[in-house]
Order: sequence, then structure tokens, then C-alpha cells
Amino acid sequence: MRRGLGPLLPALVPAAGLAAVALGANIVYSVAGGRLGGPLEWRGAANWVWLAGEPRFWAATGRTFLLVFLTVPIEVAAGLGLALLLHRNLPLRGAVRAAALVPWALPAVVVALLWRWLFHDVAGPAAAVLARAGLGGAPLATPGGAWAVLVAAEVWKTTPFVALILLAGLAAVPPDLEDAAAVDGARPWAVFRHVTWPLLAPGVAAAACLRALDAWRAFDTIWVLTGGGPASATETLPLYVYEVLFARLDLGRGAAAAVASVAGAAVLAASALSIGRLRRA
Amino acid sequence: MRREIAALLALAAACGRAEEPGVTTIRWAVGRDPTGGDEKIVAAFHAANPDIRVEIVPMSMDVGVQHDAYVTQLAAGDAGIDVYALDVIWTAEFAWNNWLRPVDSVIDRIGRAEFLPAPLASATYKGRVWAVPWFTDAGLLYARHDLLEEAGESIPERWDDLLRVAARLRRAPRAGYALQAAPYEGLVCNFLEIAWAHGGGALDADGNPKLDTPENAAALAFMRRLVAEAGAEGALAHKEEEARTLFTEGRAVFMRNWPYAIGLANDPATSKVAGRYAIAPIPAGPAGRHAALGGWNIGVSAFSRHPEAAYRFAEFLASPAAQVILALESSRLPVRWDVYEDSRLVEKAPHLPRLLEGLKAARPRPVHHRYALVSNEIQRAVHAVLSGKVAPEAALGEAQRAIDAAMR
Repeated sequence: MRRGLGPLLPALVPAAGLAAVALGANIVYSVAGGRLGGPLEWRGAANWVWLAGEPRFWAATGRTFLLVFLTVPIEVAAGLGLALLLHRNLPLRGAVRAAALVPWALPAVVVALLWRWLFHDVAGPAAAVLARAGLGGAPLATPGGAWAVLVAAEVWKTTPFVALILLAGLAAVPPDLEDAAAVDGARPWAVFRHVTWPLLAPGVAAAACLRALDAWRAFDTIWVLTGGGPASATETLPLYVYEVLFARLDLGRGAAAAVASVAGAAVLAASALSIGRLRRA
Repeated sequence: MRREIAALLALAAACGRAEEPGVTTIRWAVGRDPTGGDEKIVAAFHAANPDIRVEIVPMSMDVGVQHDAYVTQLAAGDAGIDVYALDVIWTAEFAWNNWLRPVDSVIDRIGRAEFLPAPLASATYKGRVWAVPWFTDAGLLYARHDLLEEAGESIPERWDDLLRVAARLRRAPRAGYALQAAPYEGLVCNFLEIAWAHGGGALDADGNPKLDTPENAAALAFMRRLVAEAGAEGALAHKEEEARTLFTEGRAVFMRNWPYAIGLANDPATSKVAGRYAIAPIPAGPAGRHAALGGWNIGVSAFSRHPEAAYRFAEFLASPAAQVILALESSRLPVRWDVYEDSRLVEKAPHLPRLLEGLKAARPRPVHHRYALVSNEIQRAVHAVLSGKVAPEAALGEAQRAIDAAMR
């Protein structure tokens, strides 16, 4: 499998270089501090000690994991269902496929505004339905309600993305194999389980990994939909980092929180990859 | 590196300017103004000052975004903007960072006594004036006098009366009291008005952030009752426009809001309560009556290459001519006493004298160089208490610890 890095270099060098510069600068800032535009003051481990003792940071980290584990399984399951549906020879297949992709094509801010309006307690039609059902007409003002709307908005927006990846995976499954299994007497579920799924699994793993990292760093949807509220109930790591860096202009501590967030994403990616590798072994 | 970038930006900005001989061009950053009033003011300035040209640089109407854009420009020493429109809460931060030139000379030329005291105080930091007051704003109480009369009540003068009447007249889906309780700057204004009335506040006598006081805890406990017993169901997600919509739809007995809602509430096209409500000053408490001061000031950039032209423009913005245009075209409240007696204005805006009463109770939010930090912790603490999740003392104690840790 080793082909050497040569052909990759033109893409790898700028990509890695840019990432290294940004990450490197953050790491340098995370052991320093000072005013925006002023000279750096070295602080050693002080920013990290502060971060480790900051309950708000740990709460935000917990919520970020919660968001990943609430959204990714639903997105993968729904995306798989959607992909299997779109893979069939539906009438107007092109149009149906295009329509299914609309949520993914919308900018996240537009999606968030759309859902905020749907569940707006003064003007939202969905909130009015909830109120009539006796479920409370102001979901965005309660922690549980805000989480439910946030997860629904994320799932609605990104399920088409998962479906798109899996659709490509399904297209790569040779129809002959499925036909051969069917001729051999396998039922549809057995065909899916033993023929389609093994070929599709790498695509599922890739989609889940990409989605997990996206959910980990999600900012725009949450910022616009809930602003981290109510009472910080939806404040995830990216919102917390933004708050420390840009509202407080606390460069050193904000950089430490940002580096910690990158480390969390790396842990997430590494565990997703190793799970994938274990299953292949 | 940073200096090179700043120089490049300045060069790029300079290239865009077509300099006529003898004419100085300055650039004015100000939130986009849909009313067109700002352009009329600039036109009036041009007519009186042919040797200066002012270019408007429209900024985002979201003040948070505007703040972050300013901070990035100024931290880089960008000379592309000469004059900045500044929210009253930014003075200390910008002055502390040496981003502004003091404007004491401009204020002295106009005369300190000409200005309403609260806007001038909002522009003052460590004994110097860092921005010229431009327009002002203060929290007001809106009350449905028809409902009050029906119930045999009058407009409450005191906070505890307000709570009693608002709770009594609440009938779902009609709220007793509409306020701004989403976690954002507006919540800080709503909280401080109640805290000041209870003898609390955000700073101690030495000007250091101090939130965990018995007065603040009492105010917060009162505010929690106000929201629980008289608030709308979704109050914890409401900003100005949600409260305003509730009130103009006839779904609130009282509302705390800024003066901008007067026009909307008077217009039968946007309001079901036109002619059925009155405005009054914010209620009083054991420690008096205090309304949160809003509004904008005009700062001159420390990096401007045309400070004299910038000072002249800032002075013009505080002149009666500009203040009248601003009031008539953009419905902004003047910062000078004399303009409130200007016949051009009084004729068209008969509610102004009543507003001036409300403005006299106005008090600036804490002038502190870490205001953003203090404000954010107030938002978190107050919102957590109003959600019923935490006791006032615990929330304020946690906010104090967070501020102390961040300031260290």
C-alpha cells in the first residue's frame, strides 16, 4: 500500500502548513497572555491551571460530547434510511434527490433562523402547536426544549449529507452481487446484512466520523438558535472559546481553551478511527 | 508583522480616497442607519464645512458584531477610520486600550452644562471625556391605562406595586409584565434597573466589580418573583422585539422597553393598543428610581491622521442642528437640554417632555475596562436565577468568583 508521499506533497504542504501555523500560534498564546495588539507576557502553565479549575469549561465540554452522541447516531440511522430510499428507482429520481439535499445546501445560519422562528414563543407556528397540545409554548426558554430544538435542527440539516455519502457507497455495491445472493435464496434483509452492509460500512464509518467532528465544532447553528442559553444550557466548547477569546478578549486563556478543544476533537477522531480499524481486523 | 498589515490596510484605505486639494477626507464608522438620518447630517456638515469630506463606513446593526469589528481594527492600529460611533458601554474599554483621543477640548467648547449629565458620564473615564455624547436612550415603563382603569388601579410608582398589579392582571395568554430576559446585554439593563432601586449595582465604591452583595441578592429575588408571577411564558428568551410584539398585540399589561417602541405602539398599522397605553418612568425602589442609560457617543481614533477634522465633525454631531435632524429623521433622543425646547422638535414630538422626565432618572451602566466580562457574568447569573435553577446568593457568588479569576 505504501506509495510514498511524493504525489501528495502539493496538497499536503499548504494544508498542513496552515493548520500548523494556526495551531502553533494557539499553543504559544496558551502559555502567554496580554492585551490584544500588545506584547506577549509569559504565563507558563497558569492559563492551563485556570482552565482545569474552571467549572464552566468542563460543563461546556460535557455538553459538546452530549451534542455529538445525541445527533450523530440519529443522523447516521436517518441518513442510511434516506440513502436506501433515494437509491431505489423512484419516479422523478433526480428531482427527489435534489429536494432531499436542500437542508444541507442551506447556510447553517439560515437553518438556525428558520428553526428559531418555528419555535418562537410569540410568533412561531410550531410553538403554537406545542402550546395547544399542552406541552408549553416556549420551548427555547427551557433547557430541555432548547436541546430538543437544537438536535432536531442539526439532524434536519445534516442527514442529507450522510445520505449523500452513503448513496455514493450504495452506487459502488455491484448489483450483480445482490442479484446473485437473491438468486441463491437470500431474503432482502439477509442480502442487505451480508452483501450490502459490509461494502457500505466504511462509508458509514467515514460519515459518522465527519459528522462527529462537525458536531464537535458546531458554532453557527447554536449561536443563532439559542446563543448558548437558556441559562447556559446549550453552551458548548466553541461558544465558550468564543466567549473567552472575543467577549473577554482574554487571549491566553481563550487559546488554552481552543487548544483543549482541538485535543478533544483529536481524541474523538482517533477513537473513531481505531474503532473502524478494530472492526476491520 | 502586525504593523506591516496595519500599514497595508491604511494604504489600501488611502488609495480609495480621491483627495481634492485643500479638502480633508475623514471616515466615520457607524451602524447602518435605515432611516437615512446620518446621511442628512453629513450633508448638513458638508454645507457648513466645505474643507472636510466625511465618508460614512456603515457597520453591522448587531452591536456585538460592530464591537468585535472595531476591536480588531483598533488593535491593529488601523488608521482607516477617523471617527467611531461608540455604544455608551464601550468608553472605558476603548480608553483603557489607548484607542481614543480625549475630547475634553470639544466638550469645553460646547460647554459641559449643555449636556444631560448621564450621557456625559457614560463618556467619562478616569477624569477625562473620551467621546462626545451623540444621542441617548433610557428604559421606560409602558402601561395599558385602559386595563388599569378597568381594574381600579393606577400606573405603579414603585417596583412592589408593579409586581402586585402585574400579577393581579395577568390572564394567560396575556402577560402582566413584558421585559427583556434573554441572556444578552438587554438583561443586564433590566437587572441593573431593579438592582439600583434596591441599593445594589455592579461596582463597589472603588470602582471594582462587586456582584455578591445582599442588595443584589434581594433585587434578584424580587426579579425572579416578577418573572414567575407576572412574566410571559417565554420571557427567558425575549429581547426588545418580543416584548414589544407582546405589548402591541395587546398581550401584556406592562412593558419595560426603550423609547423606540413609542412610535410602533402608536401606529395602528403595527399596534392594537394605539391610544390605550401611557409611558412612565421606570418604577422606584427603596434606593430610588434609576433607568439604564443607552445611547451612542462619538470617539476620535487615536490612529487618525486628521484629528482636527475629526474633532470638528464630532463637535458638529453634538450641535443643535445635527441633534434636531437626528431626532426628527431617526427618532433619536438628543443629549442637550436646549434641543428639548427647540420648537421644530416639540411640535412634531409632543411626548418629548415626558421622555425627558424618564431620562433624568437614567444612569450609565458600570464604566469599567472589563465591562464585557462583568456584563457576561451578570447575564449568566441572572438568567440562571430567573430559570429557577439557582438561588440568588449562589449565582452571584459564582459570578463574582468567575470575574475575580478572570481579572487575575
